[in-house]
Parts: sequence; C-alpha cells; structure tokens
Amino acid sequence: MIITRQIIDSTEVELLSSLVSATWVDISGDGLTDKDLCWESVRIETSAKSIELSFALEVIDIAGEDDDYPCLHIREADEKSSRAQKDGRIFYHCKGQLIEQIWVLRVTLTNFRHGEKFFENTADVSVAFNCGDIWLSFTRAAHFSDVINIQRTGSINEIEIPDVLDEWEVDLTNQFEISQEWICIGSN
Amino acid sequence: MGGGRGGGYGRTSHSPLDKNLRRLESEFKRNQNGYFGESRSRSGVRRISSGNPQKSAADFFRISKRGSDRVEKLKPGVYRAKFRDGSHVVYRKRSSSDGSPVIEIISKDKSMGRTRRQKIHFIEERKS
Repeated sequence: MIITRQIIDSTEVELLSSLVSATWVDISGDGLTDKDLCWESVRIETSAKSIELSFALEVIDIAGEDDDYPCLHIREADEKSSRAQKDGRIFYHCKGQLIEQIWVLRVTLTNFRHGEKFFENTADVSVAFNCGDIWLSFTRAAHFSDVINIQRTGSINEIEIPDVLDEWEVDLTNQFEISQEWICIGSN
Repeated sequence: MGGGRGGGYGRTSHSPLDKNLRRLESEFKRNQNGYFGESRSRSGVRRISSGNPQKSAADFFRISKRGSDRVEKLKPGVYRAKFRDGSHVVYRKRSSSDGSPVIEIISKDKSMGRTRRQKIHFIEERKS
C-alpha cells in the first residue's frame, strides 16, 4: 500500500501557534489577485511576526504515479513584496483583531481497489484563524492545485472545503473513504 | 441531467467556462461525467494523448479562456484565466512531474451548487 503524508511538521506548528494572541495586520502577496483567491502563497502579517502560508506543488506518488500535488508549508515571511504593495495586492480585513484560535484541517483519503487498500494519503488542506467574530481561512482549491481559497466566515463549520471525493474517479472497483479532522494548533 | 457524484456536467449552466468546455468536446474526448481525456491510474488526473501535446494544451487553453475576466501570467510558463463566477483555468506549459503540459479546471456550477475540478496532462501519442 502507498502511504503519503502532506502535513506540516512540528516547527511549522510551533510557528503557527506563536501567532495566537497577536493581532491581525494584513494579508498580501504577488499571487493575491483578489480578496478571495491567491496563487501558491500568501503573506500574513501579525503584530507578533509575519508568516508565509503556501501550497506549493511538489512531485509525489500518491496513487501509483508521480504527479504534482500542493503541500502546505508555513515559514517566517520575508519583507512584504514591493510588487504586492505597488499593485495593491494587500487586504486589511480583520486588522487589529486578536487572533484567538488557529486550527488546521487534516484530511485522510483511503483508496480501495478491488476491495483492498491501495493508497492512503493524509494532507493538511486548510488553516483557519479565529479573529473575534470572523474566521479567516486559507484552503487549497483542489488536491492537484496550488490555488488557495480565502474565506471569511462566521464559524469554522461554515468554511467550504472542496469535496475531495469529487476529484477522484469512483467506480465499482475503485472506492474511497475519507476522514477529516480539525486540529487545534493554539488557542488563548 | 445526470445526478450523483460526478454525473452531468451542468448541462444547463450558462457560465462562459461551461460553454467553452462544451465547445472543446468536438476536439477532445469527454466522458459522460464531464471529464476530458482518459483516466490516469484512476487518480483523478486525466491525460489527453496528442501528436503535439504543447499545441493541443495551448489550443485547449485558448478556447477554455474565452469570456474570462482576465488572463494572468502567474510565472514563466504558467497562466490563469479567471472567470467572474470564480471559475478558473490554469495552463502550465511544463509540469514538474513528467514535463508534460497541464491544464487545471476549477469550474463553479451554480445550477448544481457545486464546484467541479479536473486536471489534464497532455502527453505524446504512442506510435504503434
């Protein structure tokens, strides 16, 4: 059976959790084309530190063949891009709000072929920040895409998660099981 | 209209992208679930065989981007056409995995209240 994991490591978890109790400043990035969508990565600035949240494509064999899949990574951000500033690719929604909680959505997809387990893939697909009454989330648009959907919702349950099973082809001999779990990275 | 998972590709949808995808059916094989090309290891990724994969992928993108709000060059060799309803098509001239050109489609089907996603590699046709 092929087992793959596209999940953040302990250093990335630590970096994310260090943002709890900081205040939100803005999001920016060259790939931020509007307030709801960005491509590959986004820079998140807070009063504590700034991070880059990315879903960069990496070559992985998830289902028996190499392909490009988006992998969530969190790292300390560089300076704000001058192009993003020049082009107005900055959004200040939630500015000044306290970051109260941070959660990551981890999805495990199991594939059965002719009744036997063929692959199991676990991936972190969304990061959600609770800032007062708003949840700001960054979710990969598809299991093969480095496009990031940015959502602002009233609760974590309202965050729209792409239906992973819609992206894989199901038939009588090729079946899938999915489990998903929101993991609390930090809370004040 | 087909029901169930993967069924019926929003035949009543009036989105520009959906119209473009229907136009593409005459040139590229599309199954009843709306997926182009052939299954690639049932991984949800498709492939279209062609004598000239680069040209086929470029043609596919040229037709699928019609009516889009804007086409952006994301980085060298990567382009995205974004539609008003949030649908988009990404064209990569070269994938990292096998070097083949790739088209990614994320289409919002408001009539069905769902989002459809597919990724297609354009590969060299095998000569027998």
